Amino acid sequence: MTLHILNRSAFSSATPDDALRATVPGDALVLVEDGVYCALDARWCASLPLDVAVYALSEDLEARGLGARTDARVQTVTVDGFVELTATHSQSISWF
Amino acid sequence: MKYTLIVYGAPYSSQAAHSALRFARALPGLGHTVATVFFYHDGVYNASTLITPPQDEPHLNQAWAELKTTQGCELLVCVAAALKRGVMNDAEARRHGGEVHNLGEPFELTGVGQLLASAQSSDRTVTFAP
Amino acid sequence: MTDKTLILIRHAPHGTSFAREGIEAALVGGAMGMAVDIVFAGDGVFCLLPDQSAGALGQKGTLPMIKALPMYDIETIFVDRVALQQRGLEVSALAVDAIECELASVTASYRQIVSF
Repeated sequence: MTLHILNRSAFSSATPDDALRATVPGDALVLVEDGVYCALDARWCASLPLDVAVYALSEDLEARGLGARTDARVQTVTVDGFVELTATHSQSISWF
Repeated sequence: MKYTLIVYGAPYSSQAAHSALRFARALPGLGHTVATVFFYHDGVYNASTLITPPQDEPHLNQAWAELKTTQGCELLVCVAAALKRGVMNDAEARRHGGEVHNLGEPFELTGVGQLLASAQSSDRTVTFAP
Repeated sequence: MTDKTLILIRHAPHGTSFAREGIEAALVGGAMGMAVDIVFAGDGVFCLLPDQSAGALGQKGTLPMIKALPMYDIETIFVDRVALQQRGLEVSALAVDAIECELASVTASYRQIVSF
């Protein structure tokens, strides 16, 4: 299974849509850097596949003042959790 | 697990270097190690010894050097990407008729083939882009 | 799962050097006898257009490198079907022989994926 690492905002880039299209059931996606803005985009979050787990890096949310504003579909994850996601998935793709 | 981290982002222009460093620092606590950090694209600027941030910002060049001290990882810089961007060691500077250089230990210049070789010999490869 | 490395190109030529530097990595890997495949997706499919030339002040594009891929033993060149469709491009009109694919089904079988 693949971990997709996304650092672009869905409000300004087509990359988040490309990343979603490249997921298969059982993949996970982690929002980092400006990717965490995706967690506020109702259109993008509504298009999330149900069988793909979506996380946002808590440090990057907090730095941007977004702590409590994320969509219910998006779980938060610490840096340690991000590392563990890369370890438990056999490969990663960075989307930028 | 052994990790290769690839960095494309220039320091202080994007978050890529900060993200890669915090990821690398979290690895040992979880039983993993970073074996290689490979700097490519604008990431090669991280290797410049002339980096001089204001005192209230992290010194990214020193932070990479500390990572090598604490985790014993290689800090590899693509020579082709670095030279055309004006980042080079003493030997390359002399070879090209220059008198100044801005790259030295613990960073090493290497070919981009080493990026793929490092990726293939690691358990995981994670890319940090601008 | 194959031990080959997959180079994923998602950026167009000229505007940034991601595509050039990614294709260069693939070429060098191929020249060194490493097992490397390459896939073009998103705006990366524009690297495969046949009528490109050098840009202003001789800025290099990607076309000569694309044409060199088969000579460097990179025989498998994938291109994402959806990316072509979105951009009104046909695989038959590209500068090299490429295999149309669904991106997700290609990436799933590689242990190392380096994206550009």
